[in-house]
Amino acid sequence: MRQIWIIAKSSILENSRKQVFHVLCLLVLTVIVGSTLLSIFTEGVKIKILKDLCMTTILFGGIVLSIALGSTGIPNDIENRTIYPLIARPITRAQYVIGKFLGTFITVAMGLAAMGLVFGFLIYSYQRTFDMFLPVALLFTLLETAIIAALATVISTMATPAVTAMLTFMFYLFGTVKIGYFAGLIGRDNNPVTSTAARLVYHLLPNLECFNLKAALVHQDTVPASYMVQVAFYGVCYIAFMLFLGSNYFARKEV
Amino acid sequence: MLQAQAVCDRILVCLFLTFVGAGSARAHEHGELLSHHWEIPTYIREIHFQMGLMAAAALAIAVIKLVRSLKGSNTRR
Repeated sequence: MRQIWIIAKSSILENSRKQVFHVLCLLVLTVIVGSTLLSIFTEGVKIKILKDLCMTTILFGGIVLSIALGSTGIPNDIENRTIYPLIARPITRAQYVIGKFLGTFITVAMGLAAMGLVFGFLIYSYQRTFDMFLPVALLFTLLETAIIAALATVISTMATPAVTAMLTFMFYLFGTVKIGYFAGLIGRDNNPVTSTAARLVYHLLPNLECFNLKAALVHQDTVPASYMVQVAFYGVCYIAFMLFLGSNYFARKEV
Repeated sequence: MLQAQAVCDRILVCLFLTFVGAGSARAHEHGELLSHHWEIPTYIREIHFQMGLMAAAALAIAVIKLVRSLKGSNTRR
C-alpha cells in the first residue's frame, strides 16, 4: 500500500504541474461563473438551466481531464525513462499501474472539488438553501470520471498517448449512448457475425449513463437508494476489473 | 406554473418526435427512453449482467494463473 501511495503522490505532483489541468479547471470555472448571466429566464427556469449547464460542464471537464492526464502518465514515464529506476525498486508492475491511476484520479478529484464548490455556492446564492442531492450527483460524476481515468490508464499501457486519448474518448461516447442508442442499432442488425461482434463490444462498454444523475438534480426527482448503491458498486467493480486487466498486461510487457 | 411547464415539456417532446424522428425512442419498443434511466429495467439488468461477466472473467484469469504457477513449480522440481 505504501508503494502505491508513493507512486500516486509523485503522479499527483506531476499532473498538477501540467498546463492542461490549470487551463481546463479555469475554463470550467469560467463557464460556471459565466452561467449566472442567464438573466433572460425567470428564476425557476434559470436555476434549472444553471444546474443543467454546470453539471454538464463539470462532467465534460472531468472527462477531458481524465483522458488528458490518464493517457500521458505511463507513456511519458517510458519515454523519459523515469520508469526504470522505479521498476528496479521492490515495486510490482501492478502497484505501479494502480499508483498511476490513483494519481490521475486524485488530481481529477481535486479539480472537480473546486468546480463543485463554486457550483454549490452559486446554487446556494440563488436558492438560499443547500441542495442535499448536489454532493451525491457530483460524487457519481466523479465515479464516472474515475472509470474513464482507469480506462485511459489501462489503454496507455499498450498504446501511444494519441491513440489512448482517442480510444478512451470513443469508450466514453459509446458508453454514454450504450443503451439509449447502441442497443437499438444492434437489434436492427440481421447479420449474425456483425451482430455477435457488436454484442461483444456492447457488453464490454461501461454503462456510463447510469452515473448521470443530472436530471434528478435539475427536476428534484427521487432516485431509489438501492439503485444508487448498485450503480456505485458497479463503478468500483468496473475500475477494479480494468486495473486488474491492465496490471496483468503490463506485468508481461517489456518496457 | 407547474402545469404550464408540464404542457411545455410535452410540446417539446411532441416536437422532438415529429421533427427529429422517433427511432431512438422506439429502440426500447415502449418509448422507455422518455423516462429516466433509474426507471428503466434495461439499465440495471445490463449492470447485473456485466458484473457477472467481470466476475467470471476474473475467476478464469485467476484459475489460468494458478494452473501456470503450479506447472512452473512442477517443472522446477
